[in-house]
Amino acid sequence: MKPDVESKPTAWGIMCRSALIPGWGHLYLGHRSKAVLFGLGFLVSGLLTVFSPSAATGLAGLITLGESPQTLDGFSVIPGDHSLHLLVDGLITLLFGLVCLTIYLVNLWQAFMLGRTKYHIQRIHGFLLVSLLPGFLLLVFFIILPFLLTLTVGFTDYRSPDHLPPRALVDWVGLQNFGKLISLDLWKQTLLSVGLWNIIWAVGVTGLSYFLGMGMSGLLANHPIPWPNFWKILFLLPYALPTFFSLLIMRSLFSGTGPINLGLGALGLPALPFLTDPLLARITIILVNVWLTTPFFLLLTSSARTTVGSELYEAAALDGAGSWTQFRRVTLPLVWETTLPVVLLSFFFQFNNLAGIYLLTEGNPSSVNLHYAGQTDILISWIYKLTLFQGQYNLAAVLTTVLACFLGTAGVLMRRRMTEL
Amino acid sequence: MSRTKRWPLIGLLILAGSGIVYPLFWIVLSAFRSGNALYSADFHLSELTLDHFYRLFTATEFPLWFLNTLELAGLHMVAGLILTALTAFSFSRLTFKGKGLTQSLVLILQIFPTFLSMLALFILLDRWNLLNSYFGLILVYLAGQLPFSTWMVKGYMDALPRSLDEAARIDGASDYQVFTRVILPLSTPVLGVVALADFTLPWFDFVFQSLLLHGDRKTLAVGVLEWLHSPSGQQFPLFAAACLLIALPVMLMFLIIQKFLNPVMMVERFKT
Repeated sequence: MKPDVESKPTAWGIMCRSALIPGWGHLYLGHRSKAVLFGLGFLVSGLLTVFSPSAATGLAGLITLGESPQTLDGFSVIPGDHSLHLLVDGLITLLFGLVCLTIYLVNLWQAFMLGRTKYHIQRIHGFLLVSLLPGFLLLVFFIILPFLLTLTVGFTDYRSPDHLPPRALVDWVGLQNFGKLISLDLWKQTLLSVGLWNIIWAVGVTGLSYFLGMGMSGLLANHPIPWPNFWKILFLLPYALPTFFSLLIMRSLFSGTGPINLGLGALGLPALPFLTDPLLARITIILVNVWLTTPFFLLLTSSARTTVGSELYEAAALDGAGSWTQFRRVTLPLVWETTLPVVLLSFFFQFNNLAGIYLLTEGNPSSVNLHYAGQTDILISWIYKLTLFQGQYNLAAVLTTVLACFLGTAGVLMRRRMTEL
Repeated sequence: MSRTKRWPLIGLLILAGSGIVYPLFWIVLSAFRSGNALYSADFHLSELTLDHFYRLFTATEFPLWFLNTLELAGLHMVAGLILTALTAFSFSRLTFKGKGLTQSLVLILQIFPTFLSMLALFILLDRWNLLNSYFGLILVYLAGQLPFSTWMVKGYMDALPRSLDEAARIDGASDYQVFTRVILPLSTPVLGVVALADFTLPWFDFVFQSLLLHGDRKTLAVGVLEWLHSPSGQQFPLFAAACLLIALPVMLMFLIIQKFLNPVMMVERFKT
């Protein structure tokens, strides 16, 4: 099979071989392991596309989403089409097909490049197949596939009570749900109100706890206090206590008949509706989460402070800067620069902090002006309630898509900012 | 600094400290105080009792929930360790096409919480008959934890000197041997952190557990949450007792390992 120099085939010849049987071109040029990889990869993904359990209904099911719903004949149930199963199976078939197509195209392109020039083939680590495959499969089936599925559900009428499989069918409705989000006043108003509060909430909690943590680390670093380690451990306690429990404890503390209101009563003061008055609930919920998050920023800023060289402070002192100016001009910019990536990640965590809202107020107090949402609901807790209790699956999916677009854009910007640093 | 200026500072520390300690003190008190009175203002030492702990183990489903969660957490930890070590090793030491792109993806995925696609995951697990099974739930957890733990462990492995694996390779070690004999033993500290994170997650996640599990598969977080939702607050002392039993060990472990968790070190890793 070794090609002699005289009749060395053209790049097109190599590519045609690979087009007929993926991997042939590589084999022809002597890259045996790559050839096996492409050949097997194509074969396996191709077989999965055509013969996997999902392939039975496959793409056709994805298009129709079923034609006959389950019916009753007397007391016996005659099974019909299950739209969701058809949707899932169709998507899986589509994924397998895409993988197969990608392998085929990469194989073609590489064969062409190999034939044309001295294309450098990287050494393939056989171990990679073992070490990356589990993670890759998880990524495809438990992150990418769910993303796709959520996206597609947003284009259907899947919701309670009229469109629940297997009793009823689910249908494609195009952009109708997205249109309603813009045209229906109630939906639009809820989205704007919840979204605005979501931003206030994330900025408020992250910002307040960052500067509180910064202040505390400054106090601990610059002033001699007795038992510094005792105070450090004490201030770390809220961070160490699992949030699940601390939030539930706080919820009982602040509840209508809770100990804080009892204490107020003992002092002769009126009880306060900490978690039931719209404004007060928002303030309480931010403060409680600041209580939870500050220790983390205390830890972060105190170790970031140690990276600021003491010569900078000496130089600043020589130039006559007082301690406040030193903090503002030296400490703050440098610590901010060092900690920014973590602050950003923390901001996004807070933005989607379902537990921080739901365990404390469940999004309540409720409001008639909001579509299935309460006054303290953020987007993700609204989605959670729409899914778990209201059965408004298509609306939940549309909102998830909107939220994911926002997060994706922000994530790409963040990644760019981080590589600049 | 003069001694007189110290007092306002210490006063401030005590104020902040009491704000931190009060909720903790109160939950401990509730766990040991007799009776079901949810919130009573007065308190006598003679009221102290271990009744609620006794009731927790004899009169409630707590033992079942505890064992269920323990099983879930143990399996998740083992699977998570293997998976994370393998993936992080590939990213740190092996070369492959599309590595840079995958790394960016892993970083960006960290800001997408898994429960963002909870509806889709419910539909998928239902389709695959994995509802109400720990296997399905663990797969969901693994996928959710993977981006962050891979990133953390990869950063740690990157800091290990390359000369070590080069020396091993000169002696004829394969990729597999470099992994098991050189990199893995040196990464135990960071893998310890991953093990702790993976082990604790199932104890405190209520979102997926309330969505995907029910009946005799019920776990601690969901059970405890139901106690708090009981209208009369009758179960509150039970909640307090359970909270002490579950949260204290985690707290202690955390305080022990916190000196290994240097946040600035983690910042450095994000920059690569």
